[in-house]
Amino acid sequence: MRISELLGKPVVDQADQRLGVVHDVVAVRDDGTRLRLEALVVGHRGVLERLGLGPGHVHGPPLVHRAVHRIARTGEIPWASVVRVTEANIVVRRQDSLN
Amino acid sequence: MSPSSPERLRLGLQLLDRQIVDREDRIAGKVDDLELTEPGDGGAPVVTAILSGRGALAHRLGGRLGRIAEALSRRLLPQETEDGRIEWDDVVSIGSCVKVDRDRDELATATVERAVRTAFIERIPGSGKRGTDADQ
Repeated sequence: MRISELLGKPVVDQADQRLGVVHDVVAVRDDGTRLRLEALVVGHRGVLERLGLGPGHVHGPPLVHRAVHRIARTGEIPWASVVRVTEANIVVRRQDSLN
Repeated sequence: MSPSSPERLRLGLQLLDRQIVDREDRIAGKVDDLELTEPGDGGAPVVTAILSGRGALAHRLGGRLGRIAEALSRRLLPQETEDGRIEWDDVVSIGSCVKVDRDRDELATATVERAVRTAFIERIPGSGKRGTDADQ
């Protein structure tokens, strides 16, 4: 599998409800060297995320902060919640889906 | 990886499209894709290699654009056949660029740069046989 096969792919829950698309993938160093996938960054609007202006990156004035959060609402879904990755989408467990 | 490398990375934002430099800090391609491998114990996938070069980029582009890029590069670089693949164990540090403990001449990641150097740059009078200073 390649990371390009995850980025941009639609994410749905087991009830086939669309949660957004994968904007990014979070990985952690689990033993000092290996990078292990930890979560998918999923949201509906990805332009700001791709520019590095997503909610997790902007800490400016409160007005800007709120505006970015409102426009580019994203969330992380733990990799452990991923049920399967198919050609068409990524299916995650329903209780772990985004609000 | 060095201790200065981040513990938690956003792979798309902090790794993809970053410049790769070899052990002598010479440019050695770009991170076009990452290979993920699912461990046998059923855990989360781990990053096992950096993919770079024409094949990796064409695969990432996908669709018609990817096929055009692949066909174009095959025409321009018929002698280059393999994707550039760098084992993750060779990654030394991640920062504004990705440093690997390899020599760029042994990597298949800088194929376009190598072809341009051979076909054009080295033929310019005064360029010297190898453009080692100019491209660092």
